[in-house]
Amino acid sequence: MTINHRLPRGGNGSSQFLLERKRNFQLSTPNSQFAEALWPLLERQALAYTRWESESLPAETVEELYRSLCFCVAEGQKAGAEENPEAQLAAGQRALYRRSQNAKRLLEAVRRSARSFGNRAYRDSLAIMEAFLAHYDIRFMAHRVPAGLDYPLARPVPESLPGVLYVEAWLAQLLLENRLLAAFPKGRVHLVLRAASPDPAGLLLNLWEPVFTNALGLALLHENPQGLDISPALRAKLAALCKAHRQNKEKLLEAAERLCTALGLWDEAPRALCRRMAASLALRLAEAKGLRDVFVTLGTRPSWGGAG
Amino acid sequence: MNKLLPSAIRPLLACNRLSAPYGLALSAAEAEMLALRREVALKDNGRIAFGDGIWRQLVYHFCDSPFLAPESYTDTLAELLACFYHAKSEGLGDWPDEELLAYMRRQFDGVCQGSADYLAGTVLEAACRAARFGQAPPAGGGPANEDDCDVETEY
Repeated sequence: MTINHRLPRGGNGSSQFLLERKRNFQLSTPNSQFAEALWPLLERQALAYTRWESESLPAETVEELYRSLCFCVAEGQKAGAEENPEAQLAAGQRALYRRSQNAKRLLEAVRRSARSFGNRAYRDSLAIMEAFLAHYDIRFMAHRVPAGLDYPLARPVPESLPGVLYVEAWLAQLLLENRLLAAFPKGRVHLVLRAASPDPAGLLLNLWEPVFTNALGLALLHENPQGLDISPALRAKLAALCKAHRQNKEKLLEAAERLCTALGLWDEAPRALCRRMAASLALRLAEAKGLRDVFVTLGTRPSWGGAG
Repeated sequence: MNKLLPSAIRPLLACNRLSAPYGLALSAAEAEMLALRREVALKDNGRIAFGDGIWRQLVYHFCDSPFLAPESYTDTLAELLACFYHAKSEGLGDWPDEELLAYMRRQFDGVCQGSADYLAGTVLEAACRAARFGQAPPAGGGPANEDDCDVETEY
């Protein structure tokens, strides 16, 4: 028997769904696939959640337990467990445990490579991640994702990813951005951040994005990207270049490839990220009134951030 | 109205073994009505129940109450169960079922003098309010008094 283990949508809709299912289960012959296959498991999970002290739970809690159950069973199926949902649940929980251990290793790697430049959102997000992984509840709430991750990644992780899958993707992305930032001199990066944001420590700022933008600008002009400084003269050249070429996107994609080569990045993940960010920059350039706040000059302060 | 399965009624009829020594028993029709009222109470309070063990616990805790009479037995059970689920959803959700039922029984026989309305509207309401503020239920089970926030010794 094939069961649809897709996660139900959140909100009242799925509460209603569960209430309806429960009513069907009790009031009619239990012939639906759901009732046959997952309801006994959900019942066991729910009673275990109350430590066998209560026979009823709020519908919202049951809905969360159900989402977690679906997620674990689906992971068990992916892990090749046999058809029996109970075996799939156990296999899924084992698979998620292994993934949570992997996420802890990723977090350690992120911490080792972290150059937060005093950015509060970066530091706080790592602390939230650490607390989440320390208390990750595979048994009952495996689908939950950490709340309050303020640090904006250069390429956001899909919010549809449940539980530790989201955490792994988030940490892998941050590790990649750390690796890219490490290719540039720390002092220069710091100057770029100060030129790009009035408060690089306090504001929600992706650390890699302004560094990449300046490096890409230099790669576009066939200059050394490690310098990271776009002087007013270079900015004027960039403006002329952008004006002359209607197909900015292709030029920027070529420059992204040149940048990765110059930095010695040969594997696909950083190249894909740089290409994607170059494509986004093309859109930003098309909308920008001037290039002063796009390609920044080291030692200056952003024009939109007040004095400086 | 949906016709309930015999499996939903059977646990209620099984409770007659507990209550019969006290002159209290449910007919099949009364059991069916109670099972339906339980569904309504669950729905009204946004809860989902797993299993039918609550009937046995409810009857076990209340069957020897001097305030239960054969002619009002069914209605009283339905009212008590509605109180129970309401209290669960309004602040006493963390209490184990057994403890909440034992508390209800003490108050039902004590300050409520057999009034399910008083139990729901005053005693449990005060206990829920206290629980939401992280406090123990008011001593004596009455309405919460700002000067009277003692922890009830027996709970």
